[in-house]
Amino acid sequence: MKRYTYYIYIGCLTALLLSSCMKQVENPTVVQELPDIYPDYIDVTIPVGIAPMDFNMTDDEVELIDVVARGGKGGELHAQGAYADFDIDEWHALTAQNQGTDIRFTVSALKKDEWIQYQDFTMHVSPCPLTDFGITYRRIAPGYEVGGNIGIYQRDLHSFDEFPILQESAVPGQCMNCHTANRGSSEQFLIHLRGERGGTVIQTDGKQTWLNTKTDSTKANFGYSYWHPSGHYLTSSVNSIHQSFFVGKDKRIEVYDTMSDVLVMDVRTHELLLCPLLQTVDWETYPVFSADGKTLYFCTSKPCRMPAEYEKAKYSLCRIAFDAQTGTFGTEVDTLLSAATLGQSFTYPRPSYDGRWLMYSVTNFGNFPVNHTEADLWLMDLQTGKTRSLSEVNSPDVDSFHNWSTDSHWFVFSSRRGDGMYNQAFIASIDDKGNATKPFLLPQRNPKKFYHEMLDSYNCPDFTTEKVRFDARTAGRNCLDNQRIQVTLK
Amino acid sequence: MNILKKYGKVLLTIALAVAAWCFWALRYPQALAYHEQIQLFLFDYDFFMERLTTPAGIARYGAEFLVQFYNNLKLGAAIIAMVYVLMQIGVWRLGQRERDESRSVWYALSFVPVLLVWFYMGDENMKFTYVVALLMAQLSMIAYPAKQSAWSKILYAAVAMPMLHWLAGPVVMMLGLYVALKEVLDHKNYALASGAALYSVACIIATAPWVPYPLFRLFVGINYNINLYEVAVIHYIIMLAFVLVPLLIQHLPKLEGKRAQAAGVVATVAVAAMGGFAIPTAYDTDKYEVLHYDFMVRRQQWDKIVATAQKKNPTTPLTVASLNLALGMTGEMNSRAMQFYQNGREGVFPSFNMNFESSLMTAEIYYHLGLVNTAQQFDFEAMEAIPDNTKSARLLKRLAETNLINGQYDVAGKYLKLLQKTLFYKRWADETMRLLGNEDAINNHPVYGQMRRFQLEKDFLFSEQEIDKVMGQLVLQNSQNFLAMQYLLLLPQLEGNQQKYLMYKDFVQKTLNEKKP
Repeated sequence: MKRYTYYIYIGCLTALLLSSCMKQVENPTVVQELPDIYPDYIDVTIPVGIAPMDFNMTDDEVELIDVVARGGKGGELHAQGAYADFDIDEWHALTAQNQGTDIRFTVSALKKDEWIQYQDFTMHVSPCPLTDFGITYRRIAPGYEVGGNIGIYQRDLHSFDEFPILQESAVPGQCMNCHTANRGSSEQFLIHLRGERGGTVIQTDGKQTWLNTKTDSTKANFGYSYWHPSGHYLTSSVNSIHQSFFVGKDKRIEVYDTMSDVLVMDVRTHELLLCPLLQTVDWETYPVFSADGKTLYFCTSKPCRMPAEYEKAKYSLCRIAFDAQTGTFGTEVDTLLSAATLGQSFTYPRPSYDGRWLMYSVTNFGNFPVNHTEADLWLMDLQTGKTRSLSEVNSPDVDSFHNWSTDSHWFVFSSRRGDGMYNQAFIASIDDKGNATKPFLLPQRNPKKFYHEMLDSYNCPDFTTEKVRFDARTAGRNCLDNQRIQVTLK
Repeated sequence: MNILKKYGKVLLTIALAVAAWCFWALRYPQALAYHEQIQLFLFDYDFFMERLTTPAGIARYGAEFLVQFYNNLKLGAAIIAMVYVLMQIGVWRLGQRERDESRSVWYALSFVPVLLVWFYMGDENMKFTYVVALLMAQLSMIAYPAKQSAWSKILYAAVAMPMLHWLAGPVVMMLGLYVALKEVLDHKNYALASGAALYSVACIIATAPWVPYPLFRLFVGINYNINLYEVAVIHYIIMLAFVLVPLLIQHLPKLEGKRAQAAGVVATVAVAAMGGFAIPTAYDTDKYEVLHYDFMVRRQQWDKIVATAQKKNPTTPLTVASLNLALGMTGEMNSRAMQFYQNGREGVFPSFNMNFESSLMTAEIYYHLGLVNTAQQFDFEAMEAIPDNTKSARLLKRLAETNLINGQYDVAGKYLKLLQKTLFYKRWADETMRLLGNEDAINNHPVYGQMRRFQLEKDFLFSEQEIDKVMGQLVLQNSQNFLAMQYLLLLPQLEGNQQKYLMYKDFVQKTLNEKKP
């Protein structure tokens, strides 16, 4: 007993010492304005268990920031330092305790030896949990032809931990396209590699299969791919992709196709299923399967002379039936959104996994929204066919590359709203009526330093249910071996 | 003679330092500039910690710290000379069992490993990390407690080898080999010898699961060469030399009297001759000529470029392109370009071939023409084309400028903040930071203001095949863009198309007349 008393005494003394390290917010000047914080987390909606929403003051002259976070249902956190940095476990406990209600933040900043206290702001803790482990994405610097230090990574959304899945260093000299998982599965996904020893690697239940996807009867290797929910098929476009650069100062680059088709591959036999309606003289691309796997959505444009007529390439959003039992297609193509009628280009469709919504990109022209500052996210209600711009989410800059969480209550997308050059990953939730919440930037410890010094873009973010386990060393060996299974026509 | 006997060793070491300094400061300063421009060293805790995450991280950090001083070429040359001297003294120190003057006749042999390093540095892709790693390995060999108990030696090897591997990379094999040979030669302790050798290799293999590199890369050294997958035999020969030469010195016979004098003279002359003849052969003339032209373009030494070309006609696309740019900047392109060797459009606008040097040069040409966006594109490509995936302070500076001119202040600020963490770009970054968002200051800036006036208001997709039209648009945009005019008139000259030349000349004349105040 005497020993325990001794420990309690030591503990109290340590706590006292630690608390005395914090400066008291004394006689602050209370201002009637919200704090100018980076990232802008004011009024965002977050899931329970998300990584701590650390933030900085945008003003570099602020020496110290003092933040008290109080939950509507109880719980309190106190952080003080150069930026607001919350303990992970305490933060998780606070969000869990306040699921479905708000956390109120009182921010005081010390500047020139004077404390300023701002109006409180809130973050809303969604009643819908985010059950996925994290997100995957490609990190790529803005080189246009040279791959550089490209890599596919995953980030635990509940902490700040990032793990590489495949980096260029493991597959020397190869450019890699994004990791495409079957509904965020960590067990079934593919990665396309470009370059001299390129190929498509499919991993199912830990086993890597390397494919050569170009055949004499198809126009190119697989491009933009998507899994059938059964896992037995995947659909892909085959594109001849090019890029040209603008000479003026407002636009940088236009990426375009000079031809493209859509096909389906039976993953079990590596046989291609071709459909004349998806192999026309028009340019079909961005194929995706519906949540029930019975419909194939894709985008299509009338061909034009590229790059001279780059502004004429406008893509309609279409669909065709698909029978997974027989591996056959419907006989008619429905046009959901007509580029000719609406005068815009509709690309990158992503159906929610609950079958309710279809999110897609809208640009003035072209099929590569990530380079269009006007690119916005739109939402179609698949029950009513009604569409609307997600204005509560969109920014004046690029918003694109969206994907759904596996429970379809959250979505992640990349946006250039930060500085106009580097894509960052944002997450937002969506309710049963299709109302989205204000998105929040992927949390980082000391986010201002992190994002201001980050020289990579977050490309094609997607959710992953579990941590992806991919043997990059085996992939490197397989890549160098150049042994590929040739896909064939059925 | 007595003076030579007394100070001979010091004089030889000083001679090495002087020769190295002259070589790098006066003969190959472009090599220093090249290495300085393909790295970005930041005074930042995270930067340091990031370096620590891979084997040889500290050697890399140390090397990058030193290489940043190459910004001042004379200081850079002095640093290399100093490192050479330290290495040579280290070899000599290892070669002495005890202070034994009778072995001084073999002093010249202690220069051999350093001369090999000097030779290998002729490969412009060899990184200074390798040199720093060698130095660290030498230190670990010097610190080996050879005369102490077996347990002390085992303890030292057990701790030093994994540490050395993580801090300096596969040079840990040098320590393993040194301990092995030392134990065999001096103590006949074969168990410790074989254990040390195997343990050094095991240290490398054991880290493989933790780093995202193929195993062979860990044996080659992750940051020893810019080309990550290059395996040069000399790489290992040098490592061997740093182990074997000290042991050789230790075991060569003691000589005295005239035999010693003769042997000393022969050894010195032989080593000096080896260095004098072999080292220049390692420096590829064409490669270093390209680097020299790039160096002059970076410093905007236009007259010097023309003078250099007059002495020796440049022939590669990059050197010819540099010359043409220099002629344009001095207003002599149309009168003098055809006096030099030309290699068609490649010598005017080199085509993009995914490498650092060509992207950089092409970016410079477009930048001076006022095609800021095109220059930015090539600068990005150049940055990503650095084979070992480092960033470049020079390119970051240029990217900050292109974004500043384009009015993209957030991105420009991002780059400037990074440059504020460097030693040599900080002042410039601080000054440029004040321009962010200040439209008047930028518009009135002698360079950025002019670039803005040159920039095309009519936007279209750039095409190398239609470069004449792009030049024409630049002339129409601003009749003060004399560089664009000169390029426009040079293009038909290179094709030998007299009719087109006259047409373009007429167009330029008309534009000038119309735009006259």
